[in-house]
Amino acid sequence: MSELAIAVHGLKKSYGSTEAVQGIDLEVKRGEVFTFLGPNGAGKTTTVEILEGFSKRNAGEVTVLGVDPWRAPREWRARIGLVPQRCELVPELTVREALTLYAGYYPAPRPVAETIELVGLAEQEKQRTGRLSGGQQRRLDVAIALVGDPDLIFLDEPTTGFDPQARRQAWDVIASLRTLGKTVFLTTHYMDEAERLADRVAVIAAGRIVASGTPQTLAQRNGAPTEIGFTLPNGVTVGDLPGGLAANVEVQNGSAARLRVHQPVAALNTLTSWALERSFSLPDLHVTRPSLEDVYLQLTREP
Amino acid sequence: MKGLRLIFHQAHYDLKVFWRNPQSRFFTVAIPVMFLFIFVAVFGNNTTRVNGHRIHNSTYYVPYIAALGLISAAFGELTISIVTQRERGVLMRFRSAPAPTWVIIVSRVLLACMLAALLVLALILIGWLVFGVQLPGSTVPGVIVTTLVGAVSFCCLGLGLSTFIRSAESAPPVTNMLILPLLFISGIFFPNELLPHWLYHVASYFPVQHLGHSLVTAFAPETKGVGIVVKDLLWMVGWGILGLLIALRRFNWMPRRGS
Repeated sequence: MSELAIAVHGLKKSYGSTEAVQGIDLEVKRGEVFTFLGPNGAGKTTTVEILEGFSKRNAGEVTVLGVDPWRAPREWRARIGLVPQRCELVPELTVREALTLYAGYYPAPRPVAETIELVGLAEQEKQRTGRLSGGQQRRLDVAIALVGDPDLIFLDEPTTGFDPQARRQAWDVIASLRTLGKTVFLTTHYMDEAERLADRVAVIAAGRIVASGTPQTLAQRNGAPTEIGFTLPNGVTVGDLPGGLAANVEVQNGSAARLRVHQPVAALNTLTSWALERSFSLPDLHVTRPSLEDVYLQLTREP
Repeated sequence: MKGLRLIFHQAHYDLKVFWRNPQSRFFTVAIPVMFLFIFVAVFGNNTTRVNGHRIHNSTYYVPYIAALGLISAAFGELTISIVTQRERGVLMRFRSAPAPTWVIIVSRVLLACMLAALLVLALILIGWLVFGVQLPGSTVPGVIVTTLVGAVSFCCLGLGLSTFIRSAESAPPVTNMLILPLLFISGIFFPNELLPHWLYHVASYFPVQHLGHSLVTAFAPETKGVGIVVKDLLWMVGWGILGLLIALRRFNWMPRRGS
């Protein structure tokens, strides 16, 4: 069996004259949580629908679990699970009934009770799905994606519109998929979600992949500067700072200084030597590494 | 057989969904029963001419209201539930499972036909028990065959119609808008003989009139033989085939709204 769960080369898709996806390459390894990060309208859902076999591509090669999803046989469907973005469940059925209904379609489903337990809906088991909260419905969506015991799970913006608590719960469920050994393909426009869950991230903007790697390497690449923050001592202005630093300092509210540099060690040395000589205590001195968010904003900025 | 097992699995849950939906219960089950009581209570003692015989209006309304029940189960309910589930993304979600897609449609049609048949049976029994309407004898095969042919034909029409409706909200009004005028000019609420001739003529091109006429013929005590009106059945089958062809060409699993 191939190491790769998903392999995409030169994928293109247009709707009328709009090129939604303009030639992308992707590789997702088995057992990893892969995050597809990008702003709304960047082409995330279009790509996912092609990978799921719901829509046809215009060009490129796509292999998902060893087959072309557009020509995949029915049995292939049993090996993937999906949580679509726009989706409602049958509101008249209870949680348990909805899962039992779906489990019946699969050749070797997971036990229903165990799956309900896994997503944390044991208490709502007998509730109609129409009466679940948004977060609970999403967890049921995940349970339905899992009940066929698939190898690969697609989650299309699983936490959009959630309150912070529901997001944390959803993240816990997604993290538990990793421990089950599933491959997860997750799309999101939240940086913190990618940072928290992903083994690897690809950033898509306007139909093209603009960066990919682990969340850590991504954050360090593209020369995003490190930020050194401190409070200017009383009576000191930016002009008083030692040579070379002043040009990179931004001051807010009169005294909160933010210094953006590419060589943080040297800059810190200059700054602290200068402060020691003058007996400034530099309250609130802190160093922040470039976050995925900075890189993301830089990469997806409108031209 | 695996396909058969899946159909029963699906139909079992479809039935639950139907029964738990108060709208379905009211419009499909309660309305025909209510109408039977009202029409027989108001007009039951008059008589009407059917196929050259005079029959009591109570005998007239049992098969005609049964036709109404059949249409609301096979056509109205099916169309509305398919459009609603398509727009909610439920159909697409079903399709993501490895079960063959025809299972879902066959199960839905099977359920609609079963509901239609049960309604016809229930209305006949109410007519007999409450209003003392005579049960069919030699024409039992006619009642059964007409009910089944009618149910399947109206299901196919519903599948076809569902492909033209773009949102869940518009499914009930569009369905009613099409069916209500036909009910009025096809003898369901008042006998055909009260209609101007040209209106009767217009109605004769549509399947509702043929369903009503074939059911009343199969039901009337004066009818000799098995009570199957081949011409009426052919009209319904013709419309059913049209609906099926449209459905085969246009049916979509994905929601229409958005992209």
